Amino acid sequence: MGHDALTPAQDQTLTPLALPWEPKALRRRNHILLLEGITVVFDGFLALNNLNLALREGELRCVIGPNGAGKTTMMDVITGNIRPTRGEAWYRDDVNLLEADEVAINLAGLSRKFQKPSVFESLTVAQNLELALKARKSVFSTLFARLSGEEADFLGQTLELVNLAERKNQLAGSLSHGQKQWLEIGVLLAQKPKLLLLDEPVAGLTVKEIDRTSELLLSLEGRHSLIVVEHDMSFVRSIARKVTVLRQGSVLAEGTMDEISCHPGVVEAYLGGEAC
Amino acid sequence: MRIFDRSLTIFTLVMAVGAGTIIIGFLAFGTPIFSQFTVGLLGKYLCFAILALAIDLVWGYMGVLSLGHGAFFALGGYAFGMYLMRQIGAQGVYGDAVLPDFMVFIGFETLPWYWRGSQHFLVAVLLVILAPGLLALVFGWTAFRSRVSGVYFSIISQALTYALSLAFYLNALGFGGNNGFTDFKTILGYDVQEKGMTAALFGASALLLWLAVLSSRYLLRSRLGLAVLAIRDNEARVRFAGYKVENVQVAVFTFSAIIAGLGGALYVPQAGIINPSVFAPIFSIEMVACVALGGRGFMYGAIIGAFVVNYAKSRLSTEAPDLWPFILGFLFILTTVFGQGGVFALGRFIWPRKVKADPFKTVKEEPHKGVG
Repeated sequence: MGHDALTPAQDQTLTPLALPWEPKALRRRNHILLLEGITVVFDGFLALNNLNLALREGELRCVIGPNGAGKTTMMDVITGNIRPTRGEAWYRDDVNLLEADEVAINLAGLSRKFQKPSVFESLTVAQNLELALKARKSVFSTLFARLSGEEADFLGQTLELVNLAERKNQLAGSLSHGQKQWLEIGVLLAQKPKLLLLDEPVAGLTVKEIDRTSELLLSLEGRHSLIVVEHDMSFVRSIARKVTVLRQGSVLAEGTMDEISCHPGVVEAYLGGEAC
Repeated sequence: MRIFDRSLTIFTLVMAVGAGTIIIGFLAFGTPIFSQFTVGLLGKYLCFAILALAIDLVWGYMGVLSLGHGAFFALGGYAFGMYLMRQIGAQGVYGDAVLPDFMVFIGFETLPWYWRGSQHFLVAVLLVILAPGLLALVFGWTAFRSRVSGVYFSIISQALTYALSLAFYLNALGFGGNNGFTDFKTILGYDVQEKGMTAALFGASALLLWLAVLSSRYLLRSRLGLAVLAIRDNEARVRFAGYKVENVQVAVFTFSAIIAGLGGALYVPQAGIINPSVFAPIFSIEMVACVALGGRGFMYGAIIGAFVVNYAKSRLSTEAPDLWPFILGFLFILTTVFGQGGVFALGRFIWPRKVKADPFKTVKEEPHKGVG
């Protein structure tokens, strides 16, 4: 296992109040997301190998790692797309992520932005957000749903936040790549989630757009918990509080950007000899 | 939510004026203007248009291609056909007051249990809704829950209608086997051959088509409608927006099957016959071709497509029967090549309209690369 002196996170999770016979339940209660010993095997390939991750309420966590390190697989486990062979995954202490389906996980307050921007192209920008609104989502309630004044205001604010207010009646399919990325973040926010998973939110964006995205994400910190998977190191540097480095399916290091960039394993595996 | 936008207002006017003119022209002036044959034929086209609309709802708007929608049309038709057969009563060849002729002929002693109550008009109407509705509910629930989609769904829907066609060919099933139901005499005691009945059936078909458009329109304009379109775009993403995709799919599929069944029920008295050929996959595929030609995801296109294709079919299959499959195939290829929006999109291809984006236009993905 790649845990060493630089990964104190696991120890911190045991609060002084932890009772020896109930540490798990307490740990779950103290974290919005807790992955323990997650192992995923695809046809003999070890995609995730005893992965541990603990995220506190309101935390912004960046996850980095070379291609094939298991970042997206980790997201898939959290959202219920992939069932691991071993391990436990909990959202707070009330949703067992390994048993609930995607819809239940989403309704519990967890939203995900996919690696490939996936907005609904034949709906308008505003309709994309309306569909995502936190509301009753059964067939009958959606058949008769009306946008309340409050909801409309909230939609307007969300549109402002992601800079798409002027394009609200435009088809999402006609947006630029960067605008689609933002629309998808807006779609996540419209769901009023507790935990946001963002898979490569700045891939393919211009420098200016990246700056604006990091501002946006930083403004969410505290109100929402976030996990951001990114390749773009300068972007990660601009938003990172705590960074988790994955390698070959398990955690190689965890700490602040400065700490991990000095970590010899990380330097070798990922940062490519960047001095510190 | 505005249901009556410009296009629906135009459609309503066209339907009201068109159907009104035909009915008045037919009843007041008769044959020189609209013959009974023409009105009956147009009535049948209206029923095909209802089926096309039902297919368009699930295929064009929700992205689920059903190659077996004829099954629901046929079930509705058979359900109403049962009532029509019971209406014949003692006027049949064998003069049995209860058993339809075909049952006497193949030696049924008593009426099968599922024929009970079919002599009542209201029971028949209920059955017209329930039979296709329940089948769609069960079939849809099984398929969508197991996340069967795309071409696999199309194939099993085709297998469904094929299996039903085989079943309905069996004499022992009690639905007239090969010959199906025919020789209808009366509806609610009125002669089916009467002019008034022809006009009434035509009017009812027009009204049903209008209601089907109106209700589909309402559905698509609701938030549920947004979910339907979103499912067509990206099914997995809709789940992550908190919607139970399979519930939406089952609901819309069942709604569509009920529309198709109602269309089938009105088709049978106008065609004067229903037999297992309506269950044949080729019929369902032809109806899908109507939608493709009219432009999927465009309600009025499906309706116009149903009229044009079926008119062409009636003309050509008498004048050049050998040519018909080739023409249909050629048109199908043409629409596949030149635009999924159908013939109307083809028109737009020649005379492009300015802003209104084509919902099927796929926007090229921009290069998507991570750094590092």
